[in-house]
Order: sequence, then structure tokens, then C-alpha cells
Amino acid sequence: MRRFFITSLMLLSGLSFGLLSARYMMENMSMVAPIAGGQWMEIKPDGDDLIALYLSGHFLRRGEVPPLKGSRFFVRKLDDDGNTLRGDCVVAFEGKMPETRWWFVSAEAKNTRTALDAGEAVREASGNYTISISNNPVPGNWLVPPTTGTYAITLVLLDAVTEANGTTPSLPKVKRLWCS
Amino acid sequence: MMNRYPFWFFTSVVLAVLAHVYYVLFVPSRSFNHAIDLALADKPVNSFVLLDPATHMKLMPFTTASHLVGICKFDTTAGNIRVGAKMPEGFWNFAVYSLRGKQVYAINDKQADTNAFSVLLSKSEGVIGQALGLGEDVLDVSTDDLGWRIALPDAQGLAILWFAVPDPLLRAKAIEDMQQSRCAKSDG
Repeated sequence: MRRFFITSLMLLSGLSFGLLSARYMMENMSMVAPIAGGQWMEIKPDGDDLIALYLSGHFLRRGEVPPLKGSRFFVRKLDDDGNTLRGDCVVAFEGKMPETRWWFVSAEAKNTRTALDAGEAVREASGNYTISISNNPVPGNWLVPPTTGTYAITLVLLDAVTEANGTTPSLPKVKRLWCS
Repeated sequence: MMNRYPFWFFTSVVLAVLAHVYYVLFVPSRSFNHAIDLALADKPVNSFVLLDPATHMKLMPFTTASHLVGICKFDTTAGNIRVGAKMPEGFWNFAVYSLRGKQVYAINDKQADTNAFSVLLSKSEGVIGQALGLGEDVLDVSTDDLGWRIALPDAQGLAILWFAVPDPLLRAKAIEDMQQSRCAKSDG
């Protein structure tokens, strides 16, 4: 009986580990390293390598269409100082957008997403964009994070000029201003 | 204890690998198909639908409520499908995805150089084509007298038209244009 129990436990553990590890790797995109000089990570789900299978699985598993070919998809879960992005903090997303035909920024938690794109955002005279991510209304460009818990910021560049030469564009900064 | 159960330990490792591979290969595409079916619940296959903002924002993580997204779930089993697209002036993208979520074809307004075009979707034929289909790359893109012809590795898929509305004042006209798009069985 004891032998049967231990054998079953071993098989069940193997099965669970296989399923959970696949789920974890897709959900957390743990195989993607931050790009040089910051917390942004670039996701390339349309490649032909094994990693692309996990990255496209990240979207498909959630019932989402993977990003369009020719777009560049960046995500971050930390601010510039390495702090986790939390819903109870006010965060500033600021800087110049890379040369691109269209861009899209979102603050995304498990079941919520608020987004802003090139057609909706107000640009400063300097050419910079400042987007406040806060649970309280803020004048100007504003994204609402989840009330509690952590979230991720996504930046999508559509038909990016920098895509052609494969360089890493200079991306806006993300700073925590204060927490409640 | 491991000395007493080396075979079962090895079996559990193999099982872990198999479960991992199964999950990576099959679970995401099943979830994706389920989401597509939910979004197009009462819409027939081979028809063009302009999605409401809540639905397209859920399906496409890079869209906002101001964007316009039209979708056609096609099935070429019974014959070729022709997508006749009418797009507004501005930045748009046309993409074809397999039901496994792989993007097999894409074109935007700059590349197309026209806002009205037609794409004939057909299933590739022949043993070599079927074998190449495992790679899920688009097998053939050629032009016919009405537009492009795409031979696809899978019989079923999604044709997606996306448009970034540059100004809210242009939205009504953009909807009017995109609603003229068609997706239907073709004799060609």
C-alpha cells in the first residue's frame, strides 16, 4: 500500500511539475531578459525559435491574438529604480517615443487593462510624452492601474522605423512619484 | 528511497517532460480557439464582422477602444475564400492567423499602396505542401487579377483588419468604409 502511494505521488508530482512549469514560463515570460540599460523587456513572439513558442503561448493562453508582425512589443514590471509597479503608487511614464508610425501604452493587471495610444495622447512642445499612472484623476495623459496589487506596463510600437535595422530604441523612463 | 524506486522516478521525469510539451503545444491554441469562438458566438464562419471595442480590446492586447477591428473566421475546406477589404485612409493592417495563433501573412497600408484590395485564401494542396504546412509558413503569395492569392498551410484561420482611427471625427466614416469589407466563399 505504502509502495503504491509513493509511486502514485511520484507520478502525480511529475505530471504537476510539467504542467505548472510550462504555465509559469509562459505567464511570467521568464526566458526574456531586460534589454540593456533598463527594465524594459522585448517580447518577440513571431520568431521561429523555441522561445517564440512560449512567448506566443503567453498571449494565446489568455485568449489573445499575438502582436502583429512588424510591431515591437515591450513590457516591464519594475520602475527605473527596480521597484515593483504597484496600484497604490503614482508613477510617471515620460520621455520621447521612438520613431514609429503608431504606438500604444497600457497598464495591465490580471483582469484589467487601461490603454492610451498615439492618437489619444497629448504631446508636449518638447516632443516628450508624460503619462501619469494613478488611481486618482490626473490632468493630461492618464492611465488607471489596478486599485491594489501589481501591474505591468506594455509599450507597443507599430511599424517602427527602428525595426528595420534591429536596433534597440531609446524608450521612455518610468519613475515612482509617491505611494499612498 | 530513490534506490527502491528508480524506475518510477525516471517515469515521473518523463511524465513531467511530456506534460510540459503537451501544455506548450496544445493548451494555448485551445484557449485561443475558445476565446475566438466566444467573441464570434453567433456569427457564421466566412463572414466579416466589425467587433465592438470591448471584444477587440480583449482579443488584441495592443488595441484601445478608439481602434477599429474587423475579423473573419474562415474555412477553406469547401472552397477558396475571398476577403474584399475596404479600408479608410490612414494606418491599417491586414493579417492572417492560423487557428493555432501563428501569424502567416500581414500587410499594411504602406505596403499595399491601396485602401481597397482583395485577398484570395486557399488551402495549399499536395503532399509537399502539407508537409511544409507543419512549419506554418505561408506557402505561396501570388497576385491574380483582383488582388493577392495566399495559399495557407491550414484550412481554417482568421483574417483580421485593424485600423488606428487618427481622429474621433473620422470614426463614423471609417466604420462606414470598413463595413463594406466582405469575406465569403469564392468561385475563383
